[in-house]
Amino acid sequence: MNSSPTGPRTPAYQVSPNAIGLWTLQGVISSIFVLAAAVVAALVVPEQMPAPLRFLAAAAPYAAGVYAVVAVAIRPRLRYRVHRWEVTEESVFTLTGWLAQTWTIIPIARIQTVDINRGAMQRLFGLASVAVLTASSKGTVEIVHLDAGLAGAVAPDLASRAAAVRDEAT
Amino acid sequence: MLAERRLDWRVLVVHTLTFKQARAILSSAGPLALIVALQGNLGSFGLIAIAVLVTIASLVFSALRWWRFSYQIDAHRLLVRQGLVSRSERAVPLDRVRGVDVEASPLHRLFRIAVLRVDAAAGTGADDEAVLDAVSLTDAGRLRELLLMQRVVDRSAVPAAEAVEAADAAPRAPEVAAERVFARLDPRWLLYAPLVGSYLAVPLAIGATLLREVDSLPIPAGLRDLVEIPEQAGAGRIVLSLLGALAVVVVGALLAGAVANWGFVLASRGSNLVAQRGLLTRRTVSLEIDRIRGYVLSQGLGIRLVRAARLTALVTGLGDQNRRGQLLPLGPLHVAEEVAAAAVRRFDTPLLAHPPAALRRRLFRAIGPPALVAVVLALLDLPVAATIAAVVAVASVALGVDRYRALGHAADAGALAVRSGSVLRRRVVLEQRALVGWRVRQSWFQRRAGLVTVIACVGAGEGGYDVLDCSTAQGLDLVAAVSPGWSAAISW
Repeated sequence: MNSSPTGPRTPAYQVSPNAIGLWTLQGVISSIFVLAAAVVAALVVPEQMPAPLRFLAAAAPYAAGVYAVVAVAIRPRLRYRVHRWEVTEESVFTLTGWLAQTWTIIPIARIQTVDINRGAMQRLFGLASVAVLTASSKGTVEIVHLDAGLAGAVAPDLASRAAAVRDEAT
Repeated sequence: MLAERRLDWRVLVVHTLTFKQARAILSSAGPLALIVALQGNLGSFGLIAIAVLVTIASLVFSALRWWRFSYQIDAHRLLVRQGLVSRSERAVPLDRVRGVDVEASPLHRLFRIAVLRVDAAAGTGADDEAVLDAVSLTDAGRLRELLLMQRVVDRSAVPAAEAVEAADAAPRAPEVAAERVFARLDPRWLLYAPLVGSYLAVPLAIGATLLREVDSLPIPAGLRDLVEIPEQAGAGRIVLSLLGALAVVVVGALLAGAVANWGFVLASRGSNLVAQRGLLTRRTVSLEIDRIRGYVLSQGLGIRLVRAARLTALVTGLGDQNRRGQLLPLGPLHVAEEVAAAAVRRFDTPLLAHPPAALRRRLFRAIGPPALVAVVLALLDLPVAATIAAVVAVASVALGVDRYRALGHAADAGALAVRSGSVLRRRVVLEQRALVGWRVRQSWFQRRAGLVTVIACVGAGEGGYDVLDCSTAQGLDLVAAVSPGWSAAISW
């Protein structure tokens, strides 16, 4: 996907393929809500509204349909192709997103805590996330949707390496 | 080390007069008493009796609090005990003290006492401070030095108890006495105040309140004629009234600026930067120099036009950074730059401009929204509003160009600088050691234009500072220049 040098380097590893299933399920759930809201908007629109607004209300269900197709069929696969992660000698490096992409790199020396998060839906798909926190509210990085066993190995390794080289200055 | 002691007794007078403790309890009884007084035809004797009773109650509450409030400094901690029935004891470890602020309202100043606020390391909660309201001015100075110096001595790995004794033996160690003045407010700089939104807001807010009440206020008829514009007023009269209102607002902003910043002095004292300011309420804020990680030079549109600026320090673990980190509240740009260079660090590397694609994005962002509004309004058959929106869209070209010209970034041996913004232009200088990570964002449109937004993540200030729309190569060069080594993985 992003192998041309229009952006920073791509990290080495992909997340677990099960993530596609999880993202699809999330897409299905959000699509149901969006479709319901759009149908309600189209049905209850008052007749005396100005023409452009009436047009918008009538178009809402179609827009919601497009959203549903994107959220269920397209976005999960794009996300899977984009999402990557890597732990190097000195840093944690991730790439997330689908249309807009975000690269995050954090030196292991500045890691404050390493958490493993397992949400209810993640459990369903045997996934877990590793959250790495620093002193900056914006300098946090989450490696989402790893295979649960892999996350259980990566997190303690990171934590012990961070403890070994911790740099107290912030 | 400081034995357990009470606050200065003169605070009793201040608290009695301001009903500080009694206010909470009397707030419910107060209106009731007023109604009784007004409707019950109590007469002047009754009113005086109520006033005396309330004052006595206030004195009693103040005295009880004063009696049950004590503080002490032992080898490791500042201990504050308080509470009449349920006692609370707050312990602030001395090595967590981040800063000590001294504040004195006019009433406090009259009695030569001040409120001492001890700011402890943030992170465990919002309420990380101990407040001593109030101690004598001499005690305030001594306590501040004691609290701040013990931490310095602690730093050099002397066991705390010995350090305290040393501090006791020589309360004015040479390093503490050393003082260098970085900035002193020139009263002429207050003339910038009417160009600053926050100072303008003061007279505008007061004016709005007064206008709402104008009919019920007892304004003499002659004055009212001056304020109110007659129905069939000529253009001259309206212009005169507008000019008058403008003059009032300008003077009000000048006063607001003067009250906040009168006598501003920034100096170093030992390992701290100490800033003092205020015409009526005098504030003294101490910042630990070791924790300063950079600075922000900010210019609103108004003060940018007259080449003035405001300077704020970026400090790790400091709450309320904008107010407490102020290094220069208002002054000419070149003075602010000199203060930044002297008190924080010098940064002379010229900033790199961002590629032309960034200009296209700024223009699109500036013109797009008003143009869209204009189209929608035209579709809704509102020609006048649509025309106004179209004019705004055309005028936004200047905004877009100005926003592009603001963009720039650079790195030198130990720091990086970022500039952006038009209505509020900011130049941020961050020390290399402040960096705790990098984030690079690229939207679909940015990818097509070969641009990225690089975010420098730091544990101070807002947590992250954006380098907006630089080219991918520029962004990766910046990352590599500022943090060689650990950031290598992000570059090809």
